[in-house]
Amino acid sequence: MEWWGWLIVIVVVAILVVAAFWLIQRRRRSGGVIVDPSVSPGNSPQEGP
Amino acid sequence: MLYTQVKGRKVVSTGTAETVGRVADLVIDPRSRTVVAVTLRRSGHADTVLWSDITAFGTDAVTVPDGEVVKDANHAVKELSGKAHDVLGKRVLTTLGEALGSVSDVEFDPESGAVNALVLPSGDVAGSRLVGVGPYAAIVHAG
Amino acid sequence: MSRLMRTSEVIGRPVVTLDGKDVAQVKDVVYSAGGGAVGGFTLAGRGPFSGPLKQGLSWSAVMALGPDAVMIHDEDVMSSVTEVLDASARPGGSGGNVLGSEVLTDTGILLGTVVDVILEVSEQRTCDVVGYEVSASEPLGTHGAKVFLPLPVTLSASGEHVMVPAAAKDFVAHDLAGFGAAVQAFRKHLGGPS
Repeated sequence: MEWWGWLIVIVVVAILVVAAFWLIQRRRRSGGVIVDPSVSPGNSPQEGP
Repeated sequence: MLYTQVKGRKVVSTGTAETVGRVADLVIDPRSRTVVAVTLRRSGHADTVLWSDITAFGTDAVTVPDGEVVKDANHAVKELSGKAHDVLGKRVLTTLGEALGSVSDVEFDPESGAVNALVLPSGDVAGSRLVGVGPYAAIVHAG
Repeated sequence: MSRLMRTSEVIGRPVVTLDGKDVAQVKDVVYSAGGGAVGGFTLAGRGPFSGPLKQGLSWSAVMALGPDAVMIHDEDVMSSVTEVLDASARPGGSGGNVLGSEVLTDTGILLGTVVDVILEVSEQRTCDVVGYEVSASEPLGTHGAKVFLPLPVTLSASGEHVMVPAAAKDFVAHDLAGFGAAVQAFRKHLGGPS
């Protein structure tokens, strides 16, 4: 392969690594505010105050 | 006496009049709020001196009876040593979840080994307030 | 003195034991829309590659929620995520994320979108959602302006909408200080503790 072929491979790999890292970060840090979770089967929910 | 002043101080044997090593770190037990051991920089494997084996903590040298007191750390001391438990430079959190700053120094009593205070840029924290020290922070009771 | 804080500040805050170990960080805040009581938190790991944890933290296990950390006694006080979710569960609830929900009047008018949630931590160690920060739509005022809606004004909430009466726009505050005062006023009005 020509030198530029290798360069493309390196760039693509770098992009994939960064994308993977970013996706993991997002999944981990994407916190939210969960309202009224659904009742899981076999569980009696608490009554609201 | 301050922790940062003590780092690098000579440890000399009164029996042989030789330097046994130099002070590397102080091992502090947050439960008793005292210095329980001193780790040394020296060639060879054994590197820990228990506080009780120290003759005196002078301003120019730490004296010990002989080189025999430098041993491998026992289990209890091992648990309290290492970067995870070194209080110098550690972030300080109160039991109410508030950050006070980082430990710039530790003021201790060279006779009893009691930790009198943690020195922080924002002000000293009395040693009696120490609750625990871990890899993330040193925890102290809220003032 | 009770304190107001935003869930955007609480999410990502480290959970630290009295031994000084950061065992997790806050991922989600879980609450019941009726009353606003915060049941607990779901957790994420601390390392750069760690994802959500199987453990959660009930509010009852929290020693203190401070500006820089959530303090717990030790790792054993954490429970399973299911336990934390079940504690706030309601029949008919779907457990959606209220961030991004549309604030809709019961007459079908869009007032804005929820961009943050306001918590109150009291001295008696209770933690409740007391209101929502809303990015306003035309009917509420300047488009995109941030206003605060007290929880007692809302009718219901889900991951899709927060339903309010048409008169809700008379109860919004335009800054956190004004909102804090509105919360106190509401509480007096309802006869509860302040």
